[in-house]
Amino acid sequence: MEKRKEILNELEELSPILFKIKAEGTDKNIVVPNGYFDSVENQFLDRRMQVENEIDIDIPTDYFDNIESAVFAKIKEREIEEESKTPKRKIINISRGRERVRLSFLPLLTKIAIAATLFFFFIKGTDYFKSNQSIEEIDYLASISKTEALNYIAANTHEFETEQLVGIEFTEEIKNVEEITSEELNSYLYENINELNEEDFSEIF
Amino acid sequence: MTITDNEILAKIKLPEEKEEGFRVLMSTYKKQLYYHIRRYVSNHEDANDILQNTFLKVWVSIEQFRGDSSLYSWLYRIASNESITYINKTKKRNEIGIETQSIGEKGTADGLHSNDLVERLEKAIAILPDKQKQVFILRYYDEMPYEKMSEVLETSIGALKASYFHAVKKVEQFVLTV
Repeated sequence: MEKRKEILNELEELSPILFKIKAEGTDKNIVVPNGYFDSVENQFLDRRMQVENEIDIDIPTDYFDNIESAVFAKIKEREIEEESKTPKRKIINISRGRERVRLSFLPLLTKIAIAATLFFFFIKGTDYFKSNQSIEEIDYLASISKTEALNYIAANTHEFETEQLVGIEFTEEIKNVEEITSEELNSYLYENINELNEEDFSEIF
Repeated sequence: MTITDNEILAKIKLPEEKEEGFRVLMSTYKKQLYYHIRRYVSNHEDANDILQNTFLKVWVSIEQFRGDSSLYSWLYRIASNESITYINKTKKRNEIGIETQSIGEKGTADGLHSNDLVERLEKAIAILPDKQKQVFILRYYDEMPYEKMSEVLETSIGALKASYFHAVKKVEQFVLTV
């Protein structure tokens, strides 16, 4: 371990003028308010409280790391619940003037619901979710606010499996399926023809 | 009765004693750290801000302190880095200050009062590159052995010696000719 003397000798050799300044004292310009050192601990505690209050907005630890899994889990849970309640097949008639399309199978209804949802997004945008706080059907997203969950799902639709989207009841959209024009429906079917199987075709036509 | 660094750390690691242990840590190191910081900044308010920031950072990360270096070295490292960060944030203001103050001060060190020399010394340190500034302050003011400096700055002793040599020469030149 170097001794103080060695450190000073090194300085004297390197720079006599800096050695001289140091020897005469370099602390003269340092003025510390009276009693400052007695208050450091309390000042720190005040500062810490202030900082902690600033960042304390009641977000559980790891919330942002786990939100995706939490949403998926809730959706899955809801989906299973819904599956047990929903009848296997449902008939919906969509009438528009002289044209009539008869749907009597759930898988296609699913696709239509998605189409309607996406269509609704395009038309209404996220304002719908900002203004509509009464979608009781998504109460299961316990710790996540409705707006937050819907906004998240809306913004990340591509990350969800079809089945997961269907698990969510976008009440307004499903209710309004009957208002989809046949042109819109045809257009959707045309764009998603690859997703339809023979059974679907046989049931549509 | 003095308390060792290990005892302080042991206290801090117990949740019910963390606050008390931290008080002891602050009491033990506040003066050394304050005077160290005060070499980077010339006024008390700035030094107090940096000291508080240093303690906040220590509070937040103390549980991650693995004891690879001594507590003393770790605290100096944080204080030193906090000081550099702080002065870099206010660099523009400081540079303007130095430039303005230097006008009309050309001359030699001969016949200068020691207070003037100290002032010149502080100005010279202010314009050193960050790393040289840290090295110079630790060695010149804190009289820290190279082994300790190596722990604080995580730099080899050889590099520290070279850095100190260059810093001393730059400061000397500034003091003698500005």
